[in-house]
Amino acid sequence: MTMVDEPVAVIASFGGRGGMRPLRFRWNGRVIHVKGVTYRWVRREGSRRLHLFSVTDGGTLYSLCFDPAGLSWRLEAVETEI
Amino acid sequence: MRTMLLVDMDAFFASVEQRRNPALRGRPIGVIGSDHRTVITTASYEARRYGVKTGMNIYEAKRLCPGLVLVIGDNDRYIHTSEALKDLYLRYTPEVEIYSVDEAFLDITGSCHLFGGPLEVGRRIKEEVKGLFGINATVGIGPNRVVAKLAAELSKPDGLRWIKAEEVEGVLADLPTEMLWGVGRRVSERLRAIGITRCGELGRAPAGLLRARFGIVGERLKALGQGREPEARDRCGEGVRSIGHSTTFPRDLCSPAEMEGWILRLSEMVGSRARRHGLGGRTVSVVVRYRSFETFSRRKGMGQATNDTHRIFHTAMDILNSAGLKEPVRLLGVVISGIEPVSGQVPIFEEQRRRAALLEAVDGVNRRHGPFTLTWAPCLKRLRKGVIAPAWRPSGVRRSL
Repeated sequence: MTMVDEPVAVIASFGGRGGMRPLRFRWNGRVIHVKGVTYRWVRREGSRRLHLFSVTDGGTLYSLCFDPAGLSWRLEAVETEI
Repeated sequence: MRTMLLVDMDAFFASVEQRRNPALRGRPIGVIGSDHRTVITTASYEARRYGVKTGMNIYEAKRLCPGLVLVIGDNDRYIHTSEALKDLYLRYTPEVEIYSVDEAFLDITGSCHLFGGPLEVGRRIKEEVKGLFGINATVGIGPNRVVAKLAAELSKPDGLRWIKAEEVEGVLADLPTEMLWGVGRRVSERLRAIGITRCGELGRAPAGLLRARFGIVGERLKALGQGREPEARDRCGEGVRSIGHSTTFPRDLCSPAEMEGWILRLSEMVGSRARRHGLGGRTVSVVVRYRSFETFSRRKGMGQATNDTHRIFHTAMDILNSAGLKEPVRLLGVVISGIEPVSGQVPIFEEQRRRAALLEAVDGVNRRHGPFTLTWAPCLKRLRKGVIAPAWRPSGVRRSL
């Protein structure tokens, strides 16, 4: 796993059956299309509740973090599926 | 007649990691606490087939299963999943007792008819857990928690079993005593010494014989052998015998001075949990596990019951300083026992009043903003996250048999 921790621009859908769901994001000059959300969870940091998503583009696993307080996304880590 | 249902996640941490990373599915994996640690916290069922077990050294595990993939665990994922599971259970009954991070008892006596009966409740919960989280759960159902737990043990993994009251005696008759919840290897060995190896034999054994050998525990053992729950406990803290926390260090430590910050952190975890429930303890115990896995505990009384972090800490340090450590230590635990409600009496002395006000303020901030948002300075360097203890639960103090 490689820790990244960089802000990223994400297009996501909100609502619907699956709730919030990242669809694609731009990182390192590339647009990465999310093929599936493999897990989602919440992390508390002080009074903030951060929403985390493990997403795959079919070959690589990315950890995206959404902060509802700042309406911002960060790419936390990248893992090549082994 | 009560109907209790136990939901037990199968290889919980490993299943979550396999769900998160599709490449791990179907492969033998072992979850570890950090990249410095060498002990398997949970093994996937694929790894268990090779003999890999919880608590096993990674070198031994790799010898048994050369293809074993080690994965560093993440508490946030497990805690979030456990809390979401609790919300799911509450849709079936308000009587939910979270026993640990991956086990919960549901009293479905009054609600199961709404869902088509006990087996249907179990089937639905399994299906929902699988649908929401992609992980398997085993469900055991019985007339009490002891039998529900046994039903789950007998049907793991991904099982569903209901042992009805009239079937209990027959199921228990030939089962080894180790299968019973609360009967460990040592107790089983002592039972074997008096010719008892099966649950049925334990249930039929004279109470006097068991009392003579095991003291008051003897009657509890007999009840377990009969598939009865030894004693009813209420859910508000009465019946709680101890409150404790333990941690495995990122690296083994050698002197009590090095452990001071960790002891303070553990004392704060124990103290704050006790304060949240208005409970205190009269005795502090420190559990020490050496690098060799030899484990021992020492205890010391504190006079009056307390939940003050610093009194617990100083008593724990006294114990540690007089323990005469012989080896590097990998794990420490702090436990308070002799639990009783702590009265709301206003402290007489100014110093005590200031302490009580300080603790109340710290607890208030941490309740609002999360544990350890405000804490003692020596704890600051010890806020790492290892893998959560299996006994963790979303709220409350754990009841035990």
